[in-house]
Amino acid sequence: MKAINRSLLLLLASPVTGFALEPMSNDDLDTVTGQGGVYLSGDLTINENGGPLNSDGPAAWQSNCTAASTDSKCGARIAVNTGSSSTGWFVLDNIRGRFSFEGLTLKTRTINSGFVGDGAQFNSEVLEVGLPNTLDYENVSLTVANSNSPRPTDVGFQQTDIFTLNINGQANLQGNLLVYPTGTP
Amino acid sequence: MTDKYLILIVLATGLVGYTNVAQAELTSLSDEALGEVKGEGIGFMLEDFAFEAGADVATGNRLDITGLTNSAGDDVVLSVSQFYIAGSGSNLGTNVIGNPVNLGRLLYPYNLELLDGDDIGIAGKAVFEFATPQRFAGNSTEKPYSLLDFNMEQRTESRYPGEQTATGRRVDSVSGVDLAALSSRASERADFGIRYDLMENGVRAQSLEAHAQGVATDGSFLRLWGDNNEMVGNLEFNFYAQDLLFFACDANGNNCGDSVQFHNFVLESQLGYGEEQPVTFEVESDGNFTIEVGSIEGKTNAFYQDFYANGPRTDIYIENVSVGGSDFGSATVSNLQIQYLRATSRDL
Repeated sequence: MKAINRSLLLLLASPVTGFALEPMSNDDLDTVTGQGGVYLSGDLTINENGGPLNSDGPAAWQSNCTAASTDSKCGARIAVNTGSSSTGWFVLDNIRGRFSFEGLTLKTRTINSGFVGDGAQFNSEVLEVGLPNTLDYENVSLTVANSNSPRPTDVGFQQTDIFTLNINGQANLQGNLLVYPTGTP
Repeated sequence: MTDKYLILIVLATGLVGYTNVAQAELTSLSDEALGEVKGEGIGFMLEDFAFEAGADVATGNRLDITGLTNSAGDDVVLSVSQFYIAGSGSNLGTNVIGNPVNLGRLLYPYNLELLDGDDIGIAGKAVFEFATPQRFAGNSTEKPYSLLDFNMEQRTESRYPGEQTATGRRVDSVSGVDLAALSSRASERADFGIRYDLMENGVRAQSLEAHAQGVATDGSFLRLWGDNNEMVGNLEFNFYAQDLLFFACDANGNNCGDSVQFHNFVLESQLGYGEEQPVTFEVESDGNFTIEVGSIEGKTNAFYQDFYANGPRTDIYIENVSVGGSDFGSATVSNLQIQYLRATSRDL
């Protein structure tokens, strides 16, 4: 009878102790590694016809934004002011065009060997961004400029374009970008 | 009796489980504990990397830089017919894809970090730093570690005739290049180059080429912080190239002329000295930009003593300059200390 009681108790006890969710220790968490990864293809078009403000915005923003146009109202614009004594703005302007790639990969990877002996000492995880083999550009442009005001519609707007970069066609590349924490926390 | 023990054990196990759950809860950090938190940096490197753009113009690949004019006011277009980054042995850009290089080293990567300004002489500020792979000491005995072996001498010089005088060690001559100071191994030094055609007024005038082989920028950094609502910074730029080559060809890229070659080119340039001499970047209201390296005029004598002995310095050394295969020997610029610099752009 005592033996039966004991078995019964063990049976009753086991679901509680065996299947309850338990917190993982830091040591156990360290051994967990992410599996798989992500394969990305992208086709990104930025302000091909000048941008949303050019078609739906106020009249002051509308302009002729053909591919050849360098009008400051066309394309995306980033204006940065570096401080109170700086009255003007650094500008990246006319950011437009189509940009596509296939085969960008994202995954985590444990490096504990290779790299001419560095790997074994490193022995840690990195985020690996696998670069696509080709990048396709179509009428991609970017203008580096300085301006006296952040928006091209501001009163008294002046801008000095320093140079404009135009890219068409294909760029070839290979390799992985590895990202990981450094320093001594 | 045995049954009672069993029940007790079961209860005890359950309690241990609950206690563990309670330990995993988030608790707030005290101010003291927060004060101990230091930001970690983000390291990154490019593994087996090669890049090529603008090549094969015939199939429509174009990379053009426009917006420039010549002295007659005609538009000048720099049409890049090749821009590449590859491993050593790229053979002036003919061997790029399939000939990769590691940029940055796993143990010495490129690094983005927020630094405690107190540790680097910028009191009470959080400083953003972008740094390239660090340098080793090599033959250097003090920081910043140099790639150059110097013969030093003691000199006494005044800041300006009639102004403060300071004594310190100065470079007398350069005796060699110490590659042991680079953390990038020989195989981790990139080749890169650019071929571009100069088009004036729509006419292809000339093809120019510039190639750099065995390049390392170890020990460079850009530090930025805010001061009185203004962004200021310090910059150290170190550039080493085993060989730099420049030459011009005809409009079709053939019949190239003699090349100008710099062998073992070393540039070590420091701009700005902490808070005492910040570098500022500004844009004026007329749309022109200004880069300023702060003036040391009016600073104390003690400051000038320190600035002379330990302040930012620029040294440039070329082990051999050759033109068309004829050697011209070495060239050195050393002990260049900027006391004040203000450069402003002007629209032509």
